[in-house]
Amino acid sequence: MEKPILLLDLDLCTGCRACMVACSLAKEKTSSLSLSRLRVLKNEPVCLAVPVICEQCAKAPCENACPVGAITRNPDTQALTVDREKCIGCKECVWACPFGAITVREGLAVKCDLCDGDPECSKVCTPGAIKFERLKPFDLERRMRSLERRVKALTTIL
Amino acid sequence: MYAFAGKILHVNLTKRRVWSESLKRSLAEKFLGARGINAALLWRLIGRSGIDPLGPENVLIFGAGALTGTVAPSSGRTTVTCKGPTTNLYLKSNMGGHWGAELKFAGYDHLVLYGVSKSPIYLWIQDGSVEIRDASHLWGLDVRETDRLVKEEVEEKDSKVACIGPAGENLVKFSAIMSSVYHAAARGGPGAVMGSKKVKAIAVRGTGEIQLWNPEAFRELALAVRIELAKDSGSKSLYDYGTSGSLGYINSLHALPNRNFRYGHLENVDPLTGQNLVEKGYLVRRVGCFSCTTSCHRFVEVKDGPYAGTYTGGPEYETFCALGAQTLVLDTEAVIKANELCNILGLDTISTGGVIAWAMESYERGVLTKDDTDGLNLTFGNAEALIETVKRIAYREGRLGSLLAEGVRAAAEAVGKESWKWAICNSKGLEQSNVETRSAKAYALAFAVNPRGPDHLHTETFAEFGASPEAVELIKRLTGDEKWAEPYYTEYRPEIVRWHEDCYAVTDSLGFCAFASTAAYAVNPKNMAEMFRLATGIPMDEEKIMLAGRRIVTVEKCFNVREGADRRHDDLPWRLMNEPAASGPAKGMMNSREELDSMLDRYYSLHGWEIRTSWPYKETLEMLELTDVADELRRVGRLPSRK
Repeated sequence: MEKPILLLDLDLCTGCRACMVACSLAKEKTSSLSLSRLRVLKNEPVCLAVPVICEQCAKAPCENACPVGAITRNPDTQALTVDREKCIGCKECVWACPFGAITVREGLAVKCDLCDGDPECSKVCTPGAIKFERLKPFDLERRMRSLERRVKALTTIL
Repeated sequence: MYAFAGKILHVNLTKRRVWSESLKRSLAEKFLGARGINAALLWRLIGRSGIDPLGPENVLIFGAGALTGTVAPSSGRTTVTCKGPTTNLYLKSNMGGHWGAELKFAGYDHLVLYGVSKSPIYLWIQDGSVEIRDASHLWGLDVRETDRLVKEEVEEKDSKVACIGPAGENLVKFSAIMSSVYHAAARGGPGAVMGSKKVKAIAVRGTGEIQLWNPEAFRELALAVRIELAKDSGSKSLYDYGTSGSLGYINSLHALPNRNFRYGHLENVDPLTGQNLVEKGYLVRRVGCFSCTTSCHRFVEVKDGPYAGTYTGGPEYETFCALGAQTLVLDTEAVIKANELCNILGLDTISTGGVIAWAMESYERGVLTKDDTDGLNLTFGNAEALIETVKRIAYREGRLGSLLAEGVRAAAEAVGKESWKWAICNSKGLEQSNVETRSAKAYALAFAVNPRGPDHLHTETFAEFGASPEAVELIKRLTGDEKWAEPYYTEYRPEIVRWHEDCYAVTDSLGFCAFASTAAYAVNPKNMAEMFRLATGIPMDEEKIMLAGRRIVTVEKCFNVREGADRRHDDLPWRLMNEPAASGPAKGMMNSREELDSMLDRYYSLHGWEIRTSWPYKETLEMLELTDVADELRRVGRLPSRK
């Protein structure tokens, strides 16, 4: 059975960025936007907010790009995780990720690991823009529509 | 220092000097953060009475909340403090958005601007570095353009910009400081103070962190309070329909001020409601301030008709009242247009609507003629005249624009002919926000004693309406009986106001939104104290934090005492004190002198302030550890003693 993933609904994101500080608090025990695994990009004059988060791709460019095999899939959660012992800090994964979902901290790659199956960001997302759910066929369609809208929205920001 | 960035940034614009100092722990213990620390700084930095609010001696202080930048719910607010240009008294104005959090991530809790720059500048603050940059090319631009160009110039799309529009540059007395384009610190006109200093914008970008004393326990509590707040009945309605979701209910009570506070009921209020924004498709999305669980802010768009292409944050409850009900422009799209103009020109919508409603009544009475309006047919309900007047105010254009730009008190003084009787401001001079205080007695008292003038953002006593189970419960706790959850009573209003004052001061100082603690009630003094303790490591409990709130309220009061204010300044607009409410269940009610006096006597007693003058007793200031404040008030001869 498919594992739950983080589903984004652009229409519900209010741009509050609680997810970002919650992520940093859960993962780094401190409050910071730059230490968050996910980003919320914004176009402020039109109040548009677009969350950018690791999609845990099935054919993961980051996994393929890593020259030392530091990025592997956790069999329990299906999350792609970075082994910081193995990571050499070459940043190939950062360039490979089409979403810009991987960042670098202290020289090494940092990415979303779905909080070992209990992601903090979805817990603080009151409007329900980030949901941690199993993907149903119906959702797949919704997700593709959502992605399409996000790419379109991103072009107005970037 | 935990929870705080730990630094105050100072910028002297006259000398173009920039320095910073450590934020002292003792300051945080006594004054908590944002509004509280701002008030303490203002008291010390201005140092005497009588300075010109638009001169070099005024300071403009920005302060982010003690918990701003954390996952605590709805905790992203920023307080702006200075001597107010409308009232010549204490002014704090508060904005939501994301600017305050960014300031903390950039390394500063507070920013103090001194002096006056010779030419327009903007500040670029990035991770502890500060640049004063030329802004001559930005002067004259609207808020949206300024936001765009500054972000381009600093090459940081993620930076947050607080700026003024043309209104602030032109020293309009009720101009706003806008951040993230649509979040306003506007009441009382801090934008004019920023304009007088020739500061067009302050751009901030921070990649730093805010360390927490006990991150795990803080996280657990903050997440639990988030869930409670999201469950509150008030929060849900604010998310669905925004603040303007309540206009229909208020109208049904005949408490919706309209036509310059002459009436309390509209035949058809629908075009001015949040429900209408949703149903007619104006609402594009709901918007959240930093870390907010509620997201009451709106983003709307007009797609067709004469105002097609209009888009803006808002309109809020106050904006629909001020620009719609008070002017009788019952046209959603025209109000959205006027709101957009206020936002991008940088005007407070409450005062803008207030002065225009006064002008409309003056025009109706023949006190203002077509000559005075430069040919404008300024009748109630004239949407085009409303929109045109907003522009003229921002640019001080013509006779009408220059008259109204000074605010309603100055305009009524200039015009004379008893027009002060329908100028809806009190003795402090600020245009009243849109609450029918004649039939809401705690609001009436709270408005009268508010140090910046009559509005709801010093003490929001919404609980007196008993509109939710949470509100009734609170009133029961404060008064001993739930029957007092009823706004027509004058009994126990001083007690209700006193508690809300302390609670509101704590709320503002920690960076929380007032909706989280005094409209919804899941954020309360007890859990605020605990979140503060876990975040900062400073020992704190409910009693101690409410005492800090009292200390903050008292310093604000003392600023006005030093300026020479006394009991006579704690009143309400003439119309509300002398003309009864027109219809509905509250028909005939008003805020009579006697009624107000009886509440004031009790209120001052509860505070430990002298009843005759309203000045705090020496013993009260000593109890609050404000001996330095007491010393100075003794020096100027305004320190009564109980002995």
